[in-house]
Parts: sequence; C-alpha cells; structure tokens
Amino acid sequence: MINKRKMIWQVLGATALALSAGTVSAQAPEKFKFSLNWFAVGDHAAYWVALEKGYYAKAGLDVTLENSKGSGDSIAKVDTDRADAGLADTVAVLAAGARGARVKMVGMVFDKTPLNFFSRTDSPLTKPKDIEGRSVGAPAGDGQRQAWPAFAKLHNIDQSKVTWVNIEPSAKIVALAEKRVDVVGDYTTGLPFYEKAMGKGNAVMLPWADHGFDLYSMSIIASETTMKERPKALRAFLEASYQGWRDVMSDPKSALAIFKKRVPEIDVAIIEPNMMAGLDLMRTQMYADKGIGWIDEKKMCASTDIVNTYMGLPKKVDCKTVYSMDYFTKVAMPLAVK
Amino acid sequence: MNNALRKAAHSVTSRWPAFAIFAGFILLWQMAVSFMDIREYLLPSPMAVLNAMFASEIRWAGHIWITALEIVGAFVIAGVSGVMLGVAIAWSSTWAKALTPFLVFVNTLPKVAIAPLFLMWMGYGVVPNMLIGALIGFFPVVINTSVGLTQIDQDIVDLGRVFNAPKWKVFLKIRVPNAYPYILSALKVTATAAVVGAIVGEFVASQSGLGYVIITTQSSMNTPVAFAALVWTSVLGLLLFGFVAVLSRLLIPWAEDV
Repeated sequence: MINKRKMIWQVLGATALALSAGTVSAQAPEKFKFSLNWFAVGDHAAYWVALEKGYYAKAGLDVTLENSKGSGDSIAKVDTDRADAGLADTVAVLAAGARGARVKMVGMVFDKTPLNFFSRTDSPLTKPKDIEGRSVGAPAGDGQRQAWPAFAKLHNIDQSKVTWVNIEPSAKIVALAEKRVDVVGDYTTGLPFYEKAMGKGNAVMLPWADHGFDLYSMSIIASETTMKERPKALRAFLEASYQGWRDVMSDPKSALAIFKKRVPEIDVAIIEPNMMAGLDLMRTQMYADKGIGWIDEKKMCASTDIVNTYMGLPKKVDCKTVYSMDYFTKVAMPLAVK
Repeated sequence: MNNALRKAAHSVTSRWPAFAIFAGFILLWQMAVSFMDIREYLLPSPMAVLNAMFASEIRWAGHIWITALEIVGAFVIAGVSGVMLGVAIAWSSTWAKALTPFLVFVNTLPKVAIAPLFLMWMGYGVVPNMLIGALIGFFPVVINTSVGLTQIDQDIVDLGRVFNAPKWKVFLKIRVPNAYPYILSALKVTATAAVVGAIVGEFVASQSGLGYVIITTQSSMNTPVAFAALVWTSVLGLLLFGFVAVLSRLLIPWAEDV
C-alpha cells in the first residue's frame, strides 16, 4: 500500500531540492571559453581565482581559460567564435576593428597605461628625447611599437633617428641584457623579468604614463555572437571576473597560491612583483568611483584618436562603436587610490 | 641555337600540369573568399595579395634583397661545408666514424630554438641568418656527398686500379663525377632549407627582410601584405631551386630529368 503522505513529502522535498540547485536554473552550466592573451602572467591571476573559488560556477558558467600567442591571436579567436571572450590590448583591438574584426571591448583591465621603455644603467633613457640615436627592440604587434608614432610626436622625437628592430618575445629581454639593442619596449609590469636577467637595479624604466602619455591597454573583449546571443552569460562572466580581481587585491598571497596551484609552471618569485605592479595600474580614481573594469568614454575616444591619427589604418575607427558598457556590473575596488 | 630555344620553350610548356594545379588552387581560393564572406584579415583574396605585392607602401626591393642575400649565403655555406664534410667522411672510415654521430646530433637540434642563441652570440643581421639557414640545409649535402662518393660500380674503381691511379686521382676522376647527381639532388633540398632558415632567423630578430615584413604585418593584421611577402619568399625559393636544376642540366647532362 502506498503511503500517500510519505509520497507527498518526498515529492515536495525533491522539488525544493531541484529549485534550490543553482541560481540560474537546474540545467547544466553553460560552457564559456576565455582566451588569455599570452602564457601565464600576473594579470591573469584574477580569472584563476574566480574559477577556483567557484564564482563562475555560481553564475552557471563552466569556464575554460586558454593561452594565446598575443593580442592578435586572442582577437582572431574571439572574432571567429573559437572563444566567447578574451584579453587583448586596446590598440590591437582598434587596429583589428579597422580591418573588419567585429569584437568589442566590454571591460578594461589596466586603467593606467603600462607602456614603457626599458634600458640599461650603463646607457639609460632618462627622458623621451634621449631615445634619438638608439636602437629599440620589440616584437611585432607590441603595444609600444604600435603607439610609438604618437609618443614620438608628443615629445618632438625625430623618428628617423630611432631604429626599431623586430625581436621575438622570448628573446627580447636577452637582447637588452646582452647589449644587442639599446632599448626594449615592454610593459612596466615586466620589471621583475628584466631584473632576473640583468640583475637587480640594472634595468631602467621610462614609463610613458609619467611623461604625459595615456592610452587604454589590456582589455576584455567579446564577440558579436556572445554579445547578441549570450548577454546574460557575458555579464555574469564579467562580474565574476571582477570579483576575482577584488580578491586578488584584498589578498594577493592567497591569489598567488591559487595561481600556482592551477598553473604549476609559473615562477612565483617573478609573477608576484609582476602581478603587484599590475595592481598599481588599477588603483585609479576612476576605478575607485565606478568599479573595477569601468571604461570611460572620453578616455576611449582619446585612445581611438591616437590610433586613428598615427597608425595608418585602412579606415578610421569610431570610438563609440568599439566598446560597450552594457554588460558591466560594479564590483567595488578594495584598495585605495595610488 | 634554335634547338636550345625549342628545348627551353618545351620545358615550359611541358609543365602545363603544374600551371593547371596552381591555377586551380588560386581559383578555389578566390571562390572561397568571395562566397564564404571571409574577413580580409583572416584570408585575403588572391587579387588583394597581388596588389600588395607591388604596393608602394612597402620597400619591397630592399626587403627582397636582404632575404635573397641570406638565402644565397646560406645555400653557399651549406653547399660548400656539406661537400667538404661529405668528402671527409668518404675519404676515411675514421673520419666517418668520428663525424657522423655529431653531425646527426647537430641536424636534429630544432633550429627555431637555436636562433635566439645566435642572437645572443652574434647579434642580429644577415650573417647570423645565413648561418641558421646553413645549419638547416647542410646535412642532406653531407649525406648525399658521402653516398655519391662511395656508391660506385666496383668495376669502374677497379679500372682505376688497373691503371695504377693513386687514391686521390681515383677520387677526383671517378668518385667525384659519380657523386654529382647525388650532390645536386641534395642541393635542391638545401635550397628550400636556406629559405626556411633565413625566414626563421628574421622572425627571431631583424630590421628588414621578407620575414620581417611577414611578422610585422601579420601582427598588425595587414594580412594581404603578409601573404604578399610569403609569395615573394617562395619566388626566391623557386628561383634558387631552378638554378640548381639548370646546374644539374649543365654538369650532368646525361642524367634524367628529376
């Protein structure tokens, strides 16, 4: 004989269980692929933290993080839907847009520009004009290389007196250390890598932000498909990622432990200062007011202006169409402005 | 004279299957781009590439010259050193036992990994790229030279001995001509290796050259120009390959067309 009361309680219990399982729905989590711009570097920690702490899972996303060979590679992946979102440098995104790519920036990583020149203490660059008569090494597609004409114009540098040499990413630090080139273009966050090769105190930086140059750099991009067909997933991904950033800022040591656990190949001794230098680029008034990842229209348009004017692209890019704040959720920054 | 002209014309027209393959490939490419709405920065059309090959915004002549220099240099170094090493191996079995394992080791080293080391030791430029290309291309010449010098019909060697010819004369008059076809077929491989080496070297560090154009325009997504540089690179490779073919025709006219 069926115990009706018992059965009713069982059905109610099962229903309650099903309803409480997951905030999005009782379906399996959505797959979401995020292409990182490079091999492991400090500013990737936030996404690993969000993954490890279950922020993505809580939002109903089954996220995979994938390495790439530079911003160009990441943009191509996202644009062809081989990834749903990715990391890419703003200048690369704008250049790609001029050539028909349909990705948009939906979040910003660094608010202050990390663009910078490294030189040696035996022949340092102390001011921008010093670069005349020197050789500068950088990989193809490098941020410094691409924004150089604008920087040169700003400081009245005679571009014909500067020789740019193409050097592949893995060889550029050695090229500077072994005096094959006088200067190398690389982000300020790269200092620990240069000090490891050249010895502490032997690498000299010339941060462009200290010399009147500002430009958006590392950003989060999404494809047209993701924005149109999966806006909820994209918004959830961004919010969870910014929560990851929040945790990196409040507790860098645990963040590094998670990073090392997920990517055992990293050298924590270098990644730690690399990551901390990146945080400095986010401790701005803008992020303190508006939240991590905010894109400011004025600054985006100023960045686009620089690219349109100096990079000789096939067509001009409209700053209003290259980014979108439709998927932004405010996650407060736990650190004070620097 | 007429005969030579007729022969030359025939050697071009008899290659119509090759032209057909190329034409078919280009047609398919153009159709894919037109009908599949492929974005230009992912795959440009053949026309876009052709236009880019003669675009004035790129100093093509300068870049082609640099890479051509590297390729020819790599080819010559690989050829000369390869033949010398092959001769050493064929001349005495002691040399053969000593050299062969080491040469095999050098040949298996991935040159893409060695190129950054060259940058450290020698800096960047035409000469390091020549050496990288030579490193990739020398081994087939060594092997084929030594095989060509030793795989001989014993009767012919015996004939030399009958005439009391000293070892070096047998070498020069009998072994060396026997080796020509082997060496020349190895040089065809070396021609392509020289191209690869030059481009690999330029990818690692360079200021000019077709490899420099490829990598810098690829990263700024200027794909038509990157493809154009690729086409110019293969033109150089084909020219060098053709040169070896002509050399074969002159040195070993008795051999069959490969």
